[in-house]
Amino acid sequence: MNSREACPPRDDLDARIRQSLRAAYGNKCPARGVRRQLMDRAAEQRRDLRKLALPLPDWLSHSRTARPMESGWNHLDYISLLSALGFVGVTYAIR
Amino acid sequence: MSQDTPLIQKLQAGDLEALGALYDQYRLTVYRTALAVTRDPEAAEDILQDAFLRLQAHADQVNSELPLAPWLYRVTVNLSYTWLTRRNRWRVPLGDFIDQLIGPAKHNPEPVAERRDEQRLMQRAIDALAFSQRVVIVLYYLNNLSLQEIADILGCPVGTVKSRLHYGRENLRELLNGDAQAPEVQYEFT
Repeated sequence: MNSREACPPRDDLDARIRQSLRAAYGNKCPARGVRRQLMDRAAEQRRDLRKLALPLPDWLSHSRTARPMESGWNHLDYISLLSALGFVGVTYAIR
Repeated sequence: MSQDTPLIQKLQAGDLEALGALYDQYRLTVYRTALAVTRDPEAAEDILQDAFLRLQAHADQVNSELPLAPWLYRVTVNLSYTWLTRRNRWRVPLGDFIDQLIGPAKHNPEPVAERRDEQRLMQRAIDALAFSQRVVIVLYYLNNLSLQEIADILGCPVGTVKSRLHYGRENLRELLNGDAQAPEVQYEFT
């Protein structure tokens, strides 16, 4: 959609603004060194982003239930152990 | 699918050369817009770099099916706003200090030839506009964008863009008329 027609110029002010802006900025270019600097910074940024996105250890990349049982214990064993310790602790505190 | 699609997809895949190619394609648009808004060549170059660094950092969020120009315009406007805000935070108190030092001398007449310089007058008038009006004036007159395109870039209704353009233009008219009358006033005191 071109909405330019919806706001037509009413006098020469539009032409003056357009002409002045284009004369002032229409031929301006960034320095040549900007591209090289950008590419250096982009490469550096890429390295930083990769550092932030460290790969997960193998055992974390599996779902919780499908993790390999390296120690022979699964998460239910740990929960049972903690429950038992908690029970002992509470019993001791009551006594 | 836009003409930018292949390059954006390459960039999303991690191709740095694609970033360079997009830079070559859009550097003038971004630089000239930033320069017209900030009036500072160094700031415009910083904004140019930052815009493309953001493009790389957020490449996965860019819709590769759409043209890249509106996205770049929006980032450029936002970065320009941030730069102007930071600069004004430091410049305003310093400006007050200078006003105190030089007092009325600030209003001394400048050379008539300079005052008659249309481009200089216009730039000064555009500088005096509020940021929201200045951005619309630059996008409309320098970048030749339609009202709808500007509305999409700024994320506001077309009516708002029309309003900002109208008031920006009226303010420019007033500022330019004021400047044009200034030399006559000056002669009364000299």
